[in-house]
Amino acid sequence: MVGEAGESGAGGGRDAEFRAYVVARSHLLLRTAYLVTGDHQLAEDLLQTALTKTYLAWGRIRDRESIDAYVRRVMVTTHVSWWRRKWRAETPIGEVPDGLAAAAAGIDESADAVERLAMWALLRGLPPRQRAVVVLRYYEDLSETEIAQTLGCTPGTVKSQAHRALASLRNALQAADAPVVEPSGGER
Amino acid sequence: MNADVETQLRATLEEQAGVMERMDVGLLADRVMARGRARRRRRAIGAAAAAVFVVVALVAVPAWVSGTHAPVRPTMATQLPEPSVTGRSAVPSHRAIASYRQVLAWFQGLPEAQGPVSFTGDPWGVLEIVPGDTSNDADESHTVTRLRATGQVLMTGKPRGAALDSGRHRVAVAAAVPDPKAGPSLTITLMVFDADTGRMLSRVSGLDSGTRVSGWLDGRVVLDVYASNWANRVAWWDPDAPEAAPVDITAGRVLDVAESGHRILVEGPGARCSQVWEVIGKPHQALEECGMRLVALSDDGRRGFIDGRYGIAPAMLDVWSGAQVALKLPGPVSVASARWSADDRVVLSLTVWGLKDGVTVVCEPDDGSCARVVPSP
Repeated sequence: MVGEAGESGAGGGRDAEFRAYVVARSHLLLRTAYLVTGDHQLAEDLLQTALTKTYLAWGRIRDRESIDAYVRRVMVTTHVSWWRRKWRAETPIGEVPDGLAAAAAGIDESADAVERLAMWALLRGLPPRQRAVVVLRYYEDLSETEIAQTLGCTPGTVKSQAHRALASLRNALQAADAPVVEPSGGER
Repeated sequence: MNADVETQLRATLEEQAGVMERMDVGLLADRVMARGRARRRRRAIGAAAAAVFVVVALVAVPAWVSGTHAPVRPTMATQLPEPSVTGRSAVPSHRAIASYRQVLAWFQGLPEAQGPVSFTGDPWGVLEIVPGDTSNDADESHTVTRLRATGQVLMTGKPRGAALDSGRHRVAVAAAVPDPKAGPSLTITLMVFDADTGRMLSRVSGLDSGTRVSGWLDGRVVLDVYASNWANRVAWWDPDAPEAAPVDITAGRVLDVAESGHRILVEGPGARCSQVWEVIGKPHQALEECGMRLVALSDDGRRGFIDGRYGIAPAMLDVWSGAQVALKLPGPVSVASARWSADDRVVLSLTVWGLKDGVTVVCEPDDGSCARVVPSP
């Protein structure tokens, strides 16, 4: 963290402090952005946008220890607003999903890997808010209270969103495991 | 079951987070701060403009009510102070000034756009490039965009030029996209669409990362391939034979393409001069060797617009029937790029020393008068 980097002054000092923060934390934040969006390029876009907003608010963020939380909050809210605004109706084609590309390249063909790919595909299908809750809880290991602060909602809402997300994933996995019923050929 | 799902969930998230490639964080910091400063500047300008508007309204409304309103001034563009022309009359043009969107369309080598164009290259709205950023940044290098046709995303990437084949109504679009086989580096994908239906006609991937679409010529897409150490080259690709690789025409950088005239204006490698190449027949040959600095070529390839900074003698103008323009701007000027528009005007993007942002002007090649174009909000 950059808490010890000195007080945020005007101009160059503030920029230097911000730059140090970006250099130190971007890789980790990018991972979170990727898990939230499920798309490499969108993740980079989202992180850039979130960091730009953070840069503009840099002077107002008094607690330097909470910058990660601030950036995460901006990422999640920005992603939800993008999703609401215009990308909801889009159906990407002509692009191989990243996970499937790895599988196609024969990186790991074990049953576990296939299951994790299936899980990743299901995760990408969750609504962005539910996905954000899942990522913050199971990847960032945040408490319900911290997630609620990040998302700007109550802990109760976090609990219900997490419950819904897990239920969707469980149902989808059970459906995928169900035996396929072969059509009977008697009517031919 | 919940515990199983949670365990699997953690493993999946850890694994997926691990595949996210590393990025150049120094570059990221620079970009973010540049964007932040630009946004702050825009806000300040917006606030100042709003304040000015209020003041003007306070003054103008009572004057208008009393019947003494001031003459209306154009809002989209500002006439540059006293443009002077060498060897030509300096009668100011009374033609309508281009909108910023039209200028963008012209830069893509397209005819004047009808109505709003979200993709600066498709007046029919079949194909659009959706900015991947909600800010108003015009700087494409900061945004990942989506190329969308008829509601479907065709690909995501950073745009690398687009151009319309006016003869057969085809649009060529290039974009830098990540290649899963090539690791973190970007490669270029070039696609050609039917401009009327949005159907993809052909596609080639894996082109050099410095490739841009510059225009159409003789049914082929003209490509500008940037390389370091002045090894730039001009190539073209035949979308009717998509399996064939682009073929090099000459060394240098494409400045403009004259589609009807079958000519390309090329800046020679390592030299601040330009040559006009005729690409009909074999071998392709340079019609004009270095000697003048042309920056734009008319569609028929017979007229060139000269960068007057080099003090070209008026006699040279006879060759190309161009006009020299001496713009009065607060500092030395260099031409970043130029285009001859479909309605016979020349669009110049200028870099002015002392000004942070570039200046775009639209000039009349006949009389040399120019008007400055102001980006629409």
